[in-house]
Amino acid sequence: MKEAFKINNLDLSYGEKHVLKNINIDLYKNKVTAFIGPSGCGKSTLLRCLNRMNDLIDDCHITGTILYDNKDINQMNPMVLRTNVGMVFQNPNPFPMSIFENVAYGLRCQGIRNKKILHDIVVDSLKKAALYEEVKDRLKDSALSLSGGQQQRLCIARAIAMHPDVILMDEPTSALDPIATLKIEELIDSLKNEFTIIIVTHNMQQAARISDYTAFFMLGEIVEYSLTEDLFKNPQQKKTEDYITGRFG
Amino acid sequence: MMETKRKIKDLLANGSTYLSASISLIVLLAIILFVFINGSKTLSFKMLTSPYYETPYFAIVEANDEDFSSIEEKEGVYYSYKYGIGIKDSKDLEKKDAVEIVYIDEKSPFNSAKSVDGKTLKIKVGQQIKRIQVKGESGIKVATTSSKASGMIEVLDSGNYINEFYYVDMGGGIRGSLLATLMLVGLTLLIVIPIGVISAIYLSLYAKDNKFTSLLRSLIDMIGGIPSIIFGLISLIVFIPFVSKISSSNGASVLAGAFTLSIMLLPTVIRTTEERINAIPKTYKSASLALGASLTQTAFKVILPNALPGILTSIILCIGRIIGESAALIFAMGTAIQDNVGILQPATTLAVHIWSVMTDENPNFGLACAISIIILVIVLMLNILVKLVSLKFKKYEVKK
Repeated sequence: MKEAFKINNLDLSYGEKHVLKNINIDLYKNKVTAFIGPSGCGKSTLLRCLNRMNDLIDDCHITGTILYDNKDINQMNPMVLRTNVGMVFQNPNPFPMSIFENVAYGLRCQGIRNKKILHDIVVDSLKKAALYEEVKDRLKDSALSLSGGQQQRLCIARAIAMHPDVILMDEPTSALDPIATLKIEELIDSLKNEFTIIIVTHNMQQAARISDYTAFFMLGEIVEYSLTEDLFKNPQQKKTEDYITGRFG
Repeated sequence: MMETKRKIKDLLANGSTYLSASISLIVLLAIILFVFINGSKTLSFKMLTSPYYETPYFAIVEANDEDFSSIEEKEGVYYSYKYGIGIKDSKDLEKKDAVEIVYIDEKSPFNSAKSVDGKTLKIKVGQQIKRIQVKGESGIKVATTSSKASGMIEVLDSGNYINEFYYVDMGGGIRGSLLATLMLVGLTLLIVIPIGVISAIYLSLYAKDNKFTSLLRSLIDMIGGIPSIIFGLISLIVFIPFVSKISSSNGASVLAGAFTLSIMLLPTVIRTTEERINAIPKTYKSASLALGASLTQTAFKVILPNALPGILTSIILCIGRIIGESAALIFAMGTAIQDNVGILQPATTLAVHIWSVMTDENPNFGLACAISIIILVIVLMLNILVKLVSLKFKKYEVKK
């Protein structure tokens, strides 16, 4: 099995606050990996390391290495890295532009101007994000007129349009209702053949439903990382067992 | 006992709030009323398009033998059947008595009037007659504005040769100042908006929070508090020499005024734009960056379009300030009222025009108040525009 990311001895602190401690983990290609754990355990922070979004935070200090495709991501151009490693955020955050322009935005930033190519990629991405049928007649409408779940799928389409290898999802369904959540979960399932998906979630059932691998975080450390089935059915660590059985968290 | 004491205290406190509020309301109304009463007599649409200075012409007119007795007469107009011309009593722009030409027949000798040195003069309807001197059989007769139209016709018909026909293009208008104001507004916005907006983008997106940027911010706020006359001095020392160096202008000019006001308005533009940018959800920035866009692309494709309402508001605020500014412009653009304005020439804005007519030997109070009305109306309209713009964008936000 090939690794998308190899993370070695990663330490991260925001100012005085030590957020991630000695993280060593391999994330596999074309699999869905879920990060679970209580609030403030560093799972979102680790996710944001993978496409270097933590660079934007002034007093963030990182040591250790993250290899993407066997290349050190700190040696890579962050913009190139981010076109390969897309991201979907917790709250749907489409730009206040038309639906079409939202999906085309990243492509335009890469200098693609050909209308035919843009249109084809936009339609293709919307189809993959299972949104095309709902919006095909109103691609020119404001993206803000969509419902929350549709907006989130639009954000996924926007990420897919860049043809990334990896899609990072930071609690993508926490702001959505159960039906919209279900649609996103189905979508993730259909996308995993093509993309490596790494998802942070608060919802353990969700992790159990959609992921192949699960990593359990606590206080900035990885407590346990294994196949999802093993982790939920047969946890090796006491802490993991306590967490997944609801004794704390 | 306690109750009455409290009642008295409350009464005093309430009374003082009512009093203060009514004083400010009365003062405001009084100013507006005062300006309107004094200015409304002078205010006219013609004022906007007329030059400030009268242009005098002196013509010589000789009667021909045409017969003009078939002219269709209108009431209130006096006709000369000898010369084929109709005149009536009227007022000039300063509301003084005047005699205006209202009709010139096709065959009238006035169409072939000559100046003293033999050039052809085109006499037009709407011009005003100041003085005529007619040579007839009974000697020379003279009529001036004070003779009124009827007296002038009498004098006209008394002889066949007008050896001095003194007439003017009406003055007292504000065409030049109005044009200069528009020019100044355009030029200033052209300079200040790009610089201000891009500075705001730098400060809110690129600049790190350190001593340098906080110093920069306090400096910007400080510029906003400097009295405008000091900017006028800066224009004397910096901008007028600078404009003279890069162009053919020597001395005060509209361009120097635009530079001066740009510096003055920079803090307004930077602050309003920055506030708007800071109000844009941070998630737009992260979303854009996560899609592989550079910070520059993010700034110009996502942040800037969303900051447009803020930029629009600052443009409107700027226009109001430019129209109302006088002290800084007295040095930068001069105080001499001009009828023909150019970017590299001195000129007055409406506000300085007021200053100019009031410091004249004969202060023209009516004109000053009429211009004040125009300025007040423009400022009022701009305020309404600000309200409409913010309302429009609020509606957009609700849709979200």
